[in-house]
Amino acid sequence: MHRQFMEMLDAHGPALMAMLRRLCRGRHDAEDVFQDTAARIWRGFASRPRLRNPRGWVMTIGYRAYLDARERTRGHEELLDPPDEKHRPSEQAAEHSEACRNVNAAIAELSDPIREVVVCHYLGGLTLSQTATAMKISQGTVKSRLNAALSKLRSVLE
Amino acid sequence: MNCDDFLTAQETGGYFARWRARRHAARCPRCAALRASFAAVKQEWASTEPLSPRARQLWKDAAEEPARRGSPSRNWIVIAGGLTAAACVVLLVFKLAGHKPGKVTPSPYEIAKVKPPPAVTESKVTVVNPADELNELSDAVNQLDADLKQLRLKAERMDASRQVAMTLERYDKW
Repeated sequence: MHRQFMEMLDAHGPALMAMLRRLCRGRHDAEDVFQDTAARIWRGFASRPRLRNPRGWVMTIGYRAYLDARERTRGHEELLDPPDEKHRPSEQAAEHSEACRNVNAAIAELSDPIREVVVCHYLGGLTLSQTATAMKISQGTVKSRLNAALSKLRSVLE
Repeated sequence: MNCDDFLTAQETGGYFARWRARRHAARCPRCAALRASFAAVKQEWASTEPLSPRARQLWKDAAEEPARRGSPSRNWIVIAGGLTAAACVVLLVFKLAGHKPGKVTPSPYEIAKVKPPPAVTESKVTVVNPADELNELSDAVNQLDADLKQLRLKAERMDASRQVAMTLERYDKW
């Protein structure tokens, strides 16, 4: 079981960390949530359902861990890490193109509900229905938030 | 299709909307360029940087905790509780509704219009000892015999007293 758990890290860990970095806006917060996610996955690993989409399962747990972390720190915002300038998502090594940097900057400026939908869907790889389930909102709401984000991204891309 | 709707139709639209968006992009160079650049961005999003050793260590540390197995007994309790509750609800509904029996299904004999065989009844068989039974009968006969003797004596006395009374009455007339 330990080997399968580590295989899951190899398969989905980088994407999970990328998603959490964009959600948390900071590397240290993202690592805390990553650790919490790993613990949650390990706790539920033996009794996990038969997974058709393991990435969706991992990302949903990651998103829920992020929500819990955000809820814990909501009352004392001053304890949050400052935005991580050194490891801004837009300056990650994998993202070279100018278009991508502009898009990432535009995403960072979106309001939290819209940004989270974009991150879960495009970076987390969740389908629209999985995003709706993870965020506990309707699929129509997911689409409308995505549409709002896309109209903003369109102006950046053109 | 309007160029403004192209990206949303392609990303969040249904099958028909996506087909229309593809057809539109095939004819509109501006939307085709937009589609290509957004595809490039998505590709870059998909190519993530490798995990740092610290993140790998965090993941490994999580596995140090003993794994929790699913608790079948708890599941079983939940299922049993649910079934019991459902049974209680059904019983309660029957009780409140007064349980009116539905249409009685005719028996095969009624359908075939054949006289049914006589119903089998259960009877209790008592085994008796004939010697005991004879003793009881002879006792009863003896008792009856004694009663008859007493009755005969009584009748004889009554007859004698009547005769005496008649005789006395006759002598009184003289």
